Amino acid sequence: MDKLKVLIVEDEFIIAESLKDIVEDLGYEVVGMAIRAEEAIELLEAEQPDLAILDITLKGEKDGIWLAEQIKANHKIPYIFLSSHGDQSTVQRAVKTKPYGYLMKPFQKADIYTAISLALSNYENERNQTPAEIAEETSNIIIKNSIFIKDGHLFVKLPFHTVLFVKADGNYLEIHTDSKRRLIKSSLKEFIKKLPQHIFMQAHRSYVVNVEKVESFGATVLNINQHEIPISANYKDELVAKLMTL
Amino acid sequence: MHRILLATLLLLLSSGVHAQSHDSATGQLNAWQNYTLIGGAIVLLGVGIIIYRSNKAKALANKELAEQKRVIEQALEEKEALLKEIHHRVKNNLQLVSSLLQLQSKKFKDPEIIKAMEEGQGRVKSMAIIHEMLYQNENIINIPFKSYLQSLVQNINISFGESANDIKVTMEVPDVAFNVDTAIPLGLIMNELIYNCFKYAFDEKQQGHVNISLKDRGADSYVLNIVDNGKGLPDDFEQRKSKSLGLRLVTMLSKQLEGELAFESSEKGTSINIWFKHQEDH
Repeated sequence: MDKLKVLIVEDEFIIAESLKDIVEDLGYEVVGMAIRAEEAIELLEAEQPDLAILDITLKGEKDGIWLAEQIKANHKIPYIFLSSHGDQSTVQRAVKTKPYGYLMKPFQKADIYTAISLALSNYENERNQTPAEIAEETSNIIIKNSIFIKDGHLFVKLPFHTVLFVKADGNYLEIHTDSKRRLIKSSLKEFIKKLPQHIFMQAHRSYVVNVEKVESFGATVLNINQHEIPISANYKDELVAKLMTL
Repeated sequence: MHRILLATLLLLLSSGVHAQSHDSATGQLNAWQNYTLIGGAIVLLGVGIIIYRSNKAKALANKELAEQKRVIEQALEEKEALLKEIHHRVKNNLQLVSSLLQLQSKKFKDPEIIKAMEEGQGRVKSMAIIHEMLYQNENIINIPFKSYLQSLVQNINISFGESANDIKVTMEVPDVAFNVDTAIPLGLIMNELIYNCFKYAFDEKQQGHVNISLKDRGADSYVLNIVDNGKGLPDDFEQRKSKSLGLRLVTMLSKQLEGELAFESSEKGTSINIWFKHQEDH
């Protein structure tokens, strides 16, 4: 199962290590630990994390706020500031980067859990940008090429390339992947807006398929991994045209 | 000032010279006039020199004052920067302590030990909030008690996660600020009592309510009350009081605040009173 990948940037080793324990304990993966901003930039490129936790004070010339600006401009993932600075000028500088979370030291496990959940929700809300659509609790979040869905207390990562199709069932959606079927609470209409349209297309009122996963198709049905999915007249032309080009 | 004096002096002298060449018949009178004028001029010159010197001294003193002011201001700025740096260091070190507890707890599987380590971290945090407030506030000596309590309750709420959703905390606390010697023990006491409330006072699914009130009794003494509508204290509470670290902390820290502690309990809930004194600054 894919996990949410976290980058930790903190120049105090004991603190970084305890943060790693907590993040792993919560069920996420730590893909890198950096003590300098420049080092963090390299890890962002190499490891493609889904979320970063940034201490504001770092070793070297550049600080965590500079790093946040780089992430916002080039990497577009949510990040959380971690700091023992509570003074107004630092906070204001940090706030200017519009962070997805701000954690004050000392932190505990519960703080990290809450901060990650909040950061993901904030990120999704910023992405949607239409305040009317902001749900009270976000059950599904898109970061780069993956969907993150909440499974109990944990956000589970579903990279787009592992998603076969999505089926609407009442107020819920079934997301079918290679290995599993997962349920989330959402309408298909809202959900499809978040997905990249060159990969995910509607085949039927209740079905959205990953066009790259379609194994065969006929006039009224298509097949993905032994699932037979109906094609309705409304969507047929556009879908078939796309499938023909693949 | 100098210029006016100088101008007057020149005027007097020139009018004297002018008078001399004017008329010899009235020579004596003129001579007398001239002496007067010259005398006046000398007096004026003297006065001018004195004023000039005193002005020069004043300017010098002003310059010195300005310099002193600059030095004091700079020292004050340095002091504030140092204080901020110290609070930053204190908080970072408290984080280190918390992190060490966190790292150590990884070794254990026993949930009771893990819980104990978490409680230890909670205590560290209750102290850190005080430094946080000292650091953020202009008034760097005293901690506003109400906002402290709010942060503390929020922190405990977070650490209990979703199981704390049904517990409502209200406060009746006046605007008082305590110094560090009072706030640290008081904060630790509050941390233990509120934590215990969240942990033990309520049955699942019960709508819990906790009220915290503080009353000023004059002469630097206060009474703090925490009351809940939970299931009351257990029968073996007296025994537990001597064993549990949390309750031992509450007992000893009340003593440190020259205070007294009283528990009252029924099936309608628990009420805890602490009488204490605002400690003198060291």
